[in-house]
Amino acid sequence: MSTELLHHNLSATADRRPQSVAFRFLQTEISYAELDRISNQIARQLKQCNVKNGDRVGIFLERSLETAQSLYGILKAGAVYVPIDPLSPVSRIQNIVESCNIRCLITAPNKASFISRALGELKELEFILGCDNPESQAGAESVNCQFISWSEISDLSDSAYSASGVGSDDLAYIMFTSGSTGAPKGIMHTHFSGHAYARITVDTYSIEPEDRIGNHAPLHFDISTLGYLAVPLAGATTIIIPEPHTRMPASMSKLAEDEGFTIWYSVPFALIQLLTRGVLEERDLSALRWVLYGGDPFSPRQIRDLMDFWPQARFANLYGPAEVNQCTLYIIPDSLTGSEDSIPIGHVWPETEALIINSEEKPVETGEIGELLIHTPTMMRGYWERPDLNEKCFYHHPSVSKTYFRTGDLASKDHDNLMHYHGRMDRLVKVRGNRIELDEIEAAILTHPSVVEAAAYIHDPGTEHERLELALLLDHSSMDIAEKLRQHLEARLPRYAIPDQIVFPERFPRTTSGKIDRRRLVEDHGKSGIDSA
Amino acid sequence: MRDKLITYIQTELLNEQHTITPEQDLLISGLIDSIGVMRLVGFIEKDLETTIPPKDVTLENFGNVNTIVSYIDSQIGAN
Repeated sequence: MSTELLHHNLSATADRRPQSVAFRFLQTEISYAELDRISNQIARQLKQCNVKNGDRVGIFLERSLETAQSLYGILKAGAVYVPIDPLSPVSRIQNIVESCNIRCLITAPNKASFISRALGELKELEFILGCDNPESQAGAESVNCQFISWSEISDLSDSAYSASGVGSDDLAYIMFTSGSTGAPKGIMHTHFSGHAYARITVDTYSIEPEDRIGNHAPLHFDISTLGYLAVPLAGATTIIIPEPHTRMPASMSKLAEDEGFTIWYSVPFALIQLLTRGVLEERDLSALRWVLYGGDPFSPRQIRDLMDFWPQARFANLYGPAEVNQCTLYIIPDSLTGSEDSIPIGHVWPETEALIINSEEKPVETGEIGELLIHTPTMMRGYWERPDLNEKCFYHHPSVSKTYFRTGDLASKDHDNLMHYHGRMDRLVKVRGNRIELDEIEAAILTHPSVVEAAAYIHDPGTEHERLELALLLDHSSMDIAEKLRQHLEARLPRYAIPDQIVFPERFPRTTSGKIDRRRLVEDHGKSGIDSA
Repeated sequence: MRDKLITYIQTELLNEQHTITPEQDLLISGLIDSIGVMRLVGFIEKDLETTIPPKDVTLENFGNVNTIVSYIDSQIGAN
């Protein structure tokens, strides 16, 4: 049995660098030794709740130090952590709790009354860790669920604890995708795949104990695995960016300056916010050495502007669906002018192989577009209890007997062997018989300096009203330039790919991770009374 | 201005689902999202016929209704 267990990484770092700061949140911080001890207590508590190896335990927490303590406590108990978006409606929480048979949920006192009210619908829950039962003080009838406060957990022994019989092929976490991809799917990662991601990440970006990593993503979003799983392997410090700062770019850039971020990793949206409203000219972020982004394409023009603010930093596009963590890397050259069409997704990162195949499942020629398949140790086990999806999402290579993940993304390889992203396969649409890449339209309009964000979609697909629409967010100064924008597209796209209508919604709906929620954009459209041109 | 802000936040940003007090935190609790912040700034700018620079849109100035009012007063005083 291999010892590559994620919680062993924490304990090893705690032995090596006990006093180093592991996580920081606002004015509070926790050392590796403290994190190791508190997670021992949580693991003991979970054992008292009769949690067995492989059981799923929910984490229902806002950004806080407790997220890290809970994650490692659950792993030490031999269980699987399942982050649940704290802003989810009860029906979605119910969906996850039921499908994963979650009996124990770790939360915080500020969630106590919400959970107490929801218990009628969350019948599987037997133990709520991290808060008192608000009902018991009111003398109400006690529910069939036991509440255990943080202070009770802290009374338990904090000596080393690690469940026996856990192997690296056992599950470590399940992340449910949200928003833009339709019905929630639970992506299962093992200790092996999580550790491989942590290991390759630490090597690739040479993360050292002195590094300070800004963790922008909430725990339920896969980008958080860098801060929560890779950083502890390196013994560096993760700064959990508080929710309010993610909404206040000027405060976020101040935090980045005060905390001396050396590595930034987020979706492009967060960087666009910093660029447009983060008063970067007044902030000293000279400690930044890596600016990493992933999750969405990012316009070269905006990257160029950021590079001018932080000339000392290296910028990189990280590509990889949550199913494989990361799988390609493109380090953006200083020579980027900003007028390029798009940023490549680059080369596969270490220990990883890519295959691009056409609809006949044959490898494509150089320059030809096909579906990107990935073989990597960081790949998921599969989707939780979805044999139907697991049947389709893997590709078993007939001659080399290797399993690849079908990303559902379109890619091509150029003469330098660099890979380029061409959007989701389901974003390749046919309008009036013409094949149109919606992402290409977005990339084309984003080269216009007034456009902040763009989303192209098909209105009423498959009906006689079917039309191609483009929704744009502009900077405030330029609301009356619709005709210029149209000319801008006409200079760059084939005639059939020019949108029938350009609309200017007041705002874009977003997934909780900050990506544009295109599905909801299409659904909301027509009801919101947006201006059109 | 205090009452005007509370009314705007409750009706426009919270869809009358919550009531708030002047000292209640609007951000750490997750009550108002980033789009809500931008709408609130837009509302104040329109109402006072002024511009709020991005550098002033911070947790310190926009944490609750009281801090927003103090900020607005300081701006009016400065002009």
